Amino acid sequence: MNAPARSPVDAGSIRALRPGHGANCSSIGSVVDTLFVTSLLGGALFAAVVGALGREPIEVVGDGAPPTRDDRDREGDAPAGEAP
Amino acid sequence: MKLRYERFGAWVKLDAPPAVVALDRDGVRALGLDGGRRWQDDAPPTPPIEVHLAVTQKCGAGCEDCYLDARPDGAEPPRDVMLARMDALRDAGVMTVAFGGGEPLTRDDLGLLADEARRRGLAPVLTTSGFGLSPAKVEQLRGFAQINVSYDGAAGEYEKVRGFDGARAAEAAVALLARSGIRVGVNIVLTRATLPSLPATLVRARALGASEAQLLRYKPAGRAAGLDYLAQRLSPEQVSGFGETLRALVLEHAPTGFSIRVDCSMVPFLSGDPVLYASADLLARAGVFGCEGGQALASVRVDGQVAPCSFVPPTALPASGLVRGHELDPDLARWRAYPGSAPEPCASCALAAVCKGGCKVVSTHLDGVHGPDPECPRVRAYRAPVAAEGAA
Repeated sequence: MNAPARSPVDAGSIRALRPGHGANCSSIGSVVDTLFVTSLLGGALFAAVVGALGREPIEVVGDGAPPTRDDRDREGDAPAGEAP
Repeated sequence: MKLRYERFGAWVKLDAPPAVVALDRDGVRALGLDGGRRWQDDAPPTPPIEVHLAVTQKCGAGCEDCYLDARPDGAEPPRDVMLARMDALRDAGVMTVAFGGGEPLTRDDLGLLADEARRRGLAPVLTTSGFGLSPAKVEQLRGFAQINVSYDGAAGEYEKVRGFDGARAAEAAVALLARSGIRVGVNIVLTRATLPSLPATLVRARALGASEAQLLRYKPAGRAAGLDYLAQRLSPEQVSGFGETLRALVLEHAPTGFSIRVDCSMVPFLSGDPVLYASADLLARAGVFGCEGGQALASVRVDGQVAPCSFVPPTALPASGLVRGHELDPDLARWRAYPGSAPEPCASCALAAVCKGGCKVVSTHLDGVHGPDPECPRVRAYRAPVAAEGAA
């Protein structure tokens, strides 16, 4: 299958942006910097994320991952989505 | 980047800049993709995007407040068992795996496990006390995207939380990791006695080379669930002022590139800040997560059972069943359903969609129910007339 066409992602399509990796093993953490210094940090971060979204290779994971040949034979079904 | 379809669109995990992004359907289509079955109205809930994976129950530190009751002779699953659990996380589309314990450094194969997580497309991160971390050991840990060291403050402050002075070892570990070029953060458990020293603790952590601090609420679990909990937890005044405390700290540190993170259980505290309470959309867009048990977060205990989070008893679901079982497990389903049916004052709270009812570990411990967080300023205010009436 050919790679699907890719166009720039509008920043308005970003519903939520969780910066960083996080590294706590007991509870899920959220960076709060942008709550207080939105104009300074938020704009730059959103721009960097939009750039990465338009540039980085995509791997679809989870149950939406491209099916294997065996899966396709079994299901006779088209993939839900495929990475460019 | 990794992309996983969700009903709203997709979660996307980026490495540079490191971030997790919730993208709407138009955004996903712009990438040339379509969620297909995942975008149907009756699509089942998806597995977590972040899993906390206990790699050992061994720990010699003996912290008074250990939520796992870890011990020097604790259980430690063999490597092939850990690899099978990570296979299950990969198959479920999990994006981040946070290694914890016990003390993960007790494992000789910790670096190998990080590399194996990478091979499976998982971003591995690690929490450690820092005890026993040597330059040679650090070289084995380069597969981790970030390592956080438990550091509750300099000498006396650390001891107030954990019952012994481990600050020197923690500080040495932070400095060593930073010198080695590994991204390092600190985990700071906040108690009534140590909150006043938090500004100094952050300055110290930054000077040691940490790039981030995660602030953690003291939780009544494991050895911390005794009567001492009531004396250790933050005071109502500290909780109500937490938003203002955060504001001052972020304004001081953010310009230097040092980030501040709060754990899921502290989100209800933000309701005590009028500005933040009026900024629910901003919190959501900033990706602030409240209680995500049964949703974006899960924990895999050392015995392999899945739990909604690290502080609560396990479900009947083994990690190997996560792909399908996450949707069907009744305990996880109950956690997932709670935010949609939470009683007052959560039902009318502006932050409800983000907070999701506060910490159930605390509500279960103090009220005996899976309900509103009794330490939330808004819940306290709601209950105050009833409490006053009862006292009269």
